[in-house]
Amino acid sequence: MRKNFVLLAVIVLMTVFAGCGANITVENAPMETATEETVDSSSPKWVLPTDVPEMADECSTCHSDKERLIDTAAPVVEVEEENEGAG
Amino acid sequence: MAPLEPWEKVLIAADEFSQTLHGQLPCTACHSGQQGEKDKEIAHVGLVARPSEDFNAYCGPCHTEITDDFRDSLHKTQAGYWTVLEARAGSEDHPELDEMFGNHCASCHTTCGDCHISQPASVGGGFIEGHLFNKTPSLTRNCTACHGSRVGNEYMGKNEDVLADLHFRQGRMACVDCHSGMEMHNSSGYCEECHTGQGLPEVEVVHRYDGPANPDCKDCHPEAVSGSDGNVMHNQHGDELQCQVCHSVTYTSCDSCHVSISDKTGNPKFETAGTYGTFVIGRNPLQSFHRPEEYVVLRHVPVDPDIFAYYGENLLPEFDALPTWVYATPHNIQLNTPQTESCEACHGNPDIFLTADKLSPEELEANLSVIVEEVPDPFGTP
Repeated sequence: MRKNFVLLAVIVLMTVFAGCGANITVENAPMETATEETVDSSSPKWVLPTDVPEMADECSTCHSDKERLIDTAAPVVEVEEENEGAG
Repeated sequence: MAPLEPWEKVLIAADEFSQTLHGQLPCTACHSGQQGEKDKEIAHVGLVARPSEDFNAYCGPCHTEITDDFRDSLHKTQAGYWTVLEARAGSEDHPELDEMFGNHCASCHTTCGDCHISQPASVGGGFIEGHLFNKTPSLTRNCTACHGSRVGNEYMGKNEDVLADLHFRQGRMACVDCHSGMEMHNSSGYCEECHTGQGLPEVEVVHRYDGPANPDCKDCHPEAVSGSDGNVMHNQHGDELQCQVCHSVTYTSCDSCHVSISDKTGNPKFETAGTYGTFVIGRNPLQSFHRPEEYVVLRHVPVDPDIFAYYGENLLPEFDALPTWVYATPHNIQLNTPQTESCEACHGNPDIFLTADKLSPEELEANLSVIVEEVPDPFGTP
């Protein structure tokens, strides 16, 4: 009996407070009339790419493998020192 | 500086790098190329090896304040070279010098990556720390990789029989302890603190010695310059002598450089006639509100009337417009030097002053503004 009374009180209170909400009439809201795009200077101009396909990161895999880098390195061309004196 | 092995130059510390903010980006965001390819040749199609060459596009979006300033930085523009070249060329129309500059000078310009990721391209490149982005450049692998033959050798005591700079030897100070990030990124940054365009006009910095000295010795030693430290010499000479006049020691000068393209390899090359230790006091060629001292130390630069003769005749018709003994700031500061031993070390000692008799006839006219006409009298001379 007491439980039903509490439940009834809660329902009544919710009904009363529901009537206290802001009366928003969407039809009367002012229309946005901006004619040019504004830039929010506080936001980053460059965002992380989101369309990067899921693929193995072969760049990091190769460039963190010393032996592979040695094996695939282009041959070193000896550059003859032709300068004379201190630069 | 010993070059890195090819694999060392491009070995990434993948675990550490992936934990950093930059490591959250896919490699291709900055370097393009083909991320999923295992074959090196295919993977590198379209590769951008040095993205910060286009720093506005790659670094600017997140570091706009820095890249906006860096556009005019002397590190980027190399305007200091053109300031002295055009003074001696007497013209801004110089196609032969443009060609020379492209062959011999332009490779020294700096990008973000040359200081914060890799060794500079001019010394062969290579990651400093596995492609980690370093906020503070390495003294030896970044700063003196380029500024090595004079500043680096002097500062670290690599010239024979010359001590390392006191700030390095005792203070263990790195370049960035005196040279701020703002100075590196924004050559006119210090000027703009006063020259706001309201009251004092805005200024354009086109040479590293434009504007006030940065760093200035008195920033850390104000009592020495004001003479309030009780030192008689500071009281007597504080206003008229550059600090290095008393606190610098032997530094490097060079003579007669000639640049050309090798017939044998087609590569740019240079020849300098001589490199030697000097300590020379002269009149201040840059005397101004910011650099009021009357006497400074001078370094001989290897300019020569025929330095660019390979590219054309008489390319420096106004050779005498600037001295060949130039304002210098040797990086080998000592508390005690031969000059501080006694008054007679300078007074009555012609050996350490730039006098006319020390100049070759070809260089006399160019150096009239820095020659000391009368060596200070010995003490006791009426």
